[in-house]
Amino acid sequence: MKRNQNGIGLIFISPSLILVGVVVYFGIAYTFWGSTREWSDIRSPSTSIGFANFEKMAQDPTVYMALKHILIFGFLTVLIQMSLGFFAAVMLSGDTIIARNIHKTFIFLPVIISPAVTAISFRQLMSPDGEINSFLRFIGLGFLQQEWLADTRVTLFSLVIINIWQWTSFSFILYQAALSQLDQEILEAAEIDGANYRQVITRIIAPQLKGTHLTLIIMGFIGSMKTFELPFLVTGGGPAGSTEFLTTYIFDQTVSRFKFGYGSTLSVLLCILSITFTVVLLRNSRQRNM
Amino acid sequence: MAGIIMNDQKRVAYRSRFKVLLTAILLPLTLIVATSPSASAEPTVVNWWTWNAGAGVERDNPFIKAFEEANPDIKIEIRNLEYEQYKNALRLAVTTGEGPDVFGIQVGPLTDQYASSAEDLTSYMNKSALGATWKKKMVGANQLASGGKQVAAPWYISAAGLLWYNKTLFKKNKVAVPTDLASFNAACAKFKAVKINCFIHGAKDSWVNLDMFQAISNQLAPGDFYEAIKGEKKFNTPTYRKAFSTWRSLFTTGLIQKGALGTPQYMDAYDSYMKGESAMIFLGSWQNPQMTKTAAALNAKTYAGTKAGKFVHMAVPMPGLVANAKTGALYGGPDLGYAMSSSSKNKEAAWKWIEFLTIGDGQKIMGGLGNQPANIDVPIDTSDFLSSSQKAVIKMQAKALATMIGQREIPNADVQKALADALSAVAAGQQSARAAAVAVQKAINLAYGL
Repeated sequence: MKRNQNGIGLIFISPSLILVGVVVYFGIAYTFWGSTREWSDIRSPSTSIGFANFEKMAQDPTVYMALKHILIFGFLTVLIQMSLGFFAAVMLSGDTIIARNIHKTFIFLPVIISPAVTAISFRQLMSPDGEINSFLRFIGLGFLQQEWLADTRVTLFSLVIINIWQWTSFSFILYQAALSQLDQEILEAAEIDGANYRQVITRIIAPQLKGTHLTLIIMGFIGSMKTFELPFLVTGGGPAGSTEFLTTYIFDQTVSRFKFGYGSTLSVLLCILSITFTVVLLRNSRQRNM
Repeated sequence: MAGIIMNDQKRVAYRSRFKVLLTAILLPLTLIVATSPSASAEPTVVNWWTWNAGAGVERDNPFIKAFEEANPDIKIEIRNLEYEQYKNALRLAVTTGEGPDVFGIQVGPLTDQYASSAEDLTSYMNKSALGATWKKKMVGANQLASGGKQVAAPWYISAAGLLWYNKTLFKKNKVAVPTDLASFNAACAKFKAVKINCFIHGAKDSWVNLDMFQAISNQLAPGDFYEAIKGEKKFNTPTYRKAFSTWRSLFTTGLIQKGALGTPQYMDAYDSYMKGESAMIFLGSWQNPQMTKTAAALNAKTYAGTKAGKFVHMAVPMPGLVANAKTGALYGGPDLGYAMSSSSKNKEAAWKWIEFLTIGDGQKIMGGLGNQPANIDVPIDTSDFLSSSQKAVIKMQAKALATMIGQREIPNADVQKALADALSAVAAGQQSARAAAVAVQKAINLAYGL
């Protein structure tokens, strides 16, 4: 009877298993296979070159530059987006702020705007004679004007600003959902025990949202590794590689320059980094009972 | 048994009856098929893929219209895609064998990459109206060859090295057209005084930086660049270090506007020029069609509410940016060429289409659109030009196009990338001219095994 049930269960899950197997795992395996080939022609690869592409990658300064950009971008966006999202969710969870639904709608809006639209808008806003510089001049902060998308010292941070603008609402939504699940009795007990507002937030609420923090950190860093539309559409990875990410580099190698073998190698690196990061973080959190 | 076994007489009678019946069925069918108008008039379909159809991308395309009128037995099915999409779609189509019969190819790495999928056009060209003279008559045909194979036939020629300017704006503000660095700076000072952006450059796009670098290099040592970039001469020399430092100075002196490294040439810089907001832009002969009344009317619609279409669009060779500059050289070749897929099932019809575009009447249509046809004997039609003064631009170009100094497209993709990266880094002040020359030399050495 049990064997029968297992068989029926297998039939039900087989479409998903086949789909995931073919689309995801076969894709990954094919990319790995491609990374061991000399594949710089439009036709299928024929020559195996072992791990030569990996050796090339280990000596490629653009890869290290891209990894550095991912780290900086990931650290800043995750930290700021989480802080702002958490702060906004806590502020709007009580009834001290009027017209909360309107605030929530405004905070939520950027996440539903297509990155292509965001990119075009910010390219205009951040141009030398764009609205951001005009606004800075208007409020008397003209000395803060920048060549936001042209100065190599600033461009990566410009992308960080755009990303924060678009994705803070995602942190906000997750924190808001988590806050609605909190046990109100604990909060009331803390209040009775004399805890002030800051203590309730830092000692009671924040620790109870560890799961949400972890989800946002994992998704944020993996998102940073996968970031493509923003640098591609806003800066094209430039100027002078100052906003090059692994994804833009993969696109350049594979699509623009037909280097499928090396592009596959870079994709394998991206895949390994994402998996390693997730596994390490999940293990650590389990050990700490998060 | 008696019912099954037939005698010889019966067998013969059966066979005869069967033959009559078969004839009665097949004869009318054969007649119907043979006389059916749909069967005889079914045209051969030639699938044509491109990212640049000249003008009109659907059934209104003038090339298709003229060709189909002259060849009613052939139907052209066009697929016009944006360049990046085109490259992806073509790769997939060619590798799966479901590709087009005729497809567009750009000079440079693309020609080498698709050489194995294209028919060698040499014998076809030899049999064409141009005969053995095609190599002389078709400018830059050698740039579309790879490994001894003529991968594609050139369609029209485009060359870079031109400074386009808004003549109306120059006249109105009494500014002299620049010929050297001093007059360039003087012109910019005058435009700045009336709050008009002088020269707009979209340095976010590497292709226009590569074009500008070639202009500077050719002013320093005409033609040397094309040998150095292929490893036939040294690149890490004082000439290219000087070229890099001149390039950097364009940014530091303010000749190139602030924020240029974040501005794409298409469409931001181009739009600024077309709207009449900037006085000059560095482009090439592919801008010729913009001198026509037709283009002016279209631009006035596209950029409604601006000065677009209301000014005279003129060009001069890029002014000298270095001391003792040798100016006037243009560099380029076929803007695109057409290749025939080696897996095409309609090679005869496909060739007829390529021949029409690149050798036949298609060349006259191209000249009528304002572009320089690949066949140098076919002139540009200037009858639709906005101002008679613009004819001088074509005259000036004609000489330079016939003696182009080099191939605009850098043949090796890795070297091209190294130079593009170096130009961006030098412009941003991240790399010195010396380090940039070393980096490009390193890429050349790697690419050519030096």
